[in-house]
Amino acid sequence: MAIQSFRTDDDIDEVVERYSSMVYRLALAHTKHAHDAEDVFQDVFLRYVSRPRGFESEEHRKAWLIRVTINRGRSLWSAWFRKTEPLSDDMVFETQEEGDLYEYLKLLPQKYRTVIHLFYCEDLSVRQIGEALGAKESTVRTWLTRARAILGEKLKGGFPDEQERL
Amino acid sequence: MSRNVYKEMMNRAVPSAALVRKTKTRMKKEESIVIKQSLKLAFRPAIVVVMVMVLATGTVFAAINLLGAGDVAEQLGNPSLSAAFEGESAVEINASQTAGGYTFTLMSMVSGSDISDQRVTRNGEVLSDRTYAVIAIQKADGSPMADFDDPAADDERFFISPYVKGYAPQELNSYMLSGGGSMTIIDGVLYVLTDVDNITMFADRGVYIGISSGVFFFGEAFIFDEGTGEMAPNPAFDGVSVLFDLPLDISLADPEKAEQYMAGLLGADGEDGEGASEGAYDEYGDYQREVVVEVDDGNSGYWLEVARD
Repeated sequence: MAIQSFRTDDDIDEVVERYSSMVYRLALAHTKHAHDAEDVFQDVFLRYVSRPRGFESEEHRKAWLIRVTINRGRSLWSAWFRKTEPLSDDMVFETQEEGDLYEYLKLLPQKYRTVIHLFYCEDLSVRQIGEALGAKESTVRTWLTRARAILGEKLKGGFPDEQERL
Repeated sequence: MSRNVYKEMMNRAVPSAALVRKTKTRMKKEESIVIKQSLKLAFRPAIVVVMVMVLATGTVFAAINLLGAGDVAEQLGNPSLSAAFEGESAVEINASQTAGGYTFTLMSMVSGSDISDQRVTRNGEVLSDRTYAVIAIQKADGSPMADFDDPAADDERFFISPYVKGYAPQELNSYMLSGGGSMTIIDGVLYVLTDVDNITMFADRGVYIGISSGVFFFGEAFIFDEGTGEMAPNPAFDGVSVLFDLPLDISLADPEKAEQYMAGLLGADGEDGEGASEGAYDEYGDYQREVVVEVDDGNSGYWLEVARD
């Protein structure tokens, strides 16, 4: 007979287990640097503890984490934008295609990288991205279009330009 | 280029185990401070609600084919608590509500000091004065609940917590009451034995047991009336949300103790949230405000730790 025990501190374990990859990936895409991503990662989850208790829904919780990750990434970047050390490559690439994509992504403006990441990695709709970034949907579409166009010019075979989820 | 190239590449970027572990530790340390601070903000003169215990509308009495609460405690390896559920101080409720395809039965509750074989500690302090309740959860269509290792079980997880009238649910819930418990599935029925700090002290206010979907507390699950201090399930909530009124004996209420309890959560000195748990942190800031549960295995005479946060 299986028995499971639980305690209310499970909340912390659960939320970190569920969202650690999402927050880390977004922080990495946003900051381009593993060390910065780790700082943002910790900061986001520490802020999670002091948020108002309870979320209206799981979607609400996820949106909160995305929004705070982006905001903290912005703050971190603002504080360190003058550093001149070269960006480290912390990614592991399995194909040349991936390596090329990553190199070109790093050259994109931060807002373009972020919308590309939220759309293609986190599968957010344009509306959800707009809410997370505090931007109009039309603005998000413009950023996505421009980011795709830049990447498409540089990458062999272009960059997928699929129908946007609304 | 396939649209999945980017996703597959980024999916290999994962935080290190050390980073995750360190973050959890810091969060738990931070949480104890935040809880104390939020309680300090939330603490206010009591809204005394003299209540007549009426079971919630829609509640039916149905405990057919269910184990007794004492049997559940026995199955969960807690013979002392099993005896307590069979004793005179236990309150047999056996009230059921059906929602979201599940039938929830609040079977029985019992409160007291040192009535369990489980020993719960917080910051090394033994929490002996506890309230225990057994809840049975069944599929309304008669099919069995998913086994714990079945991925479908993720959709059958519920947050069970007492709520006290006069306090918003986000202000006082299982988190604040050092809640926890254990559960098992027998004959397709999920039995949950949950424990929190003794809530009979709040009996004059009125106490609910709330059940909502998920393993987290969601504020949207319930509607709180600030004027009356009463709660109700939120019909707009996307998930299960049910409330049971606990038929507590009002004569067991202890407003003074309740007030001290709330003040105690603010810290021993009651000033700035420091104090009671301050010594629980080492110089590296590692979190040591652990809630530890131990159970006497009844044979070896040793305490076996069965759950530790």
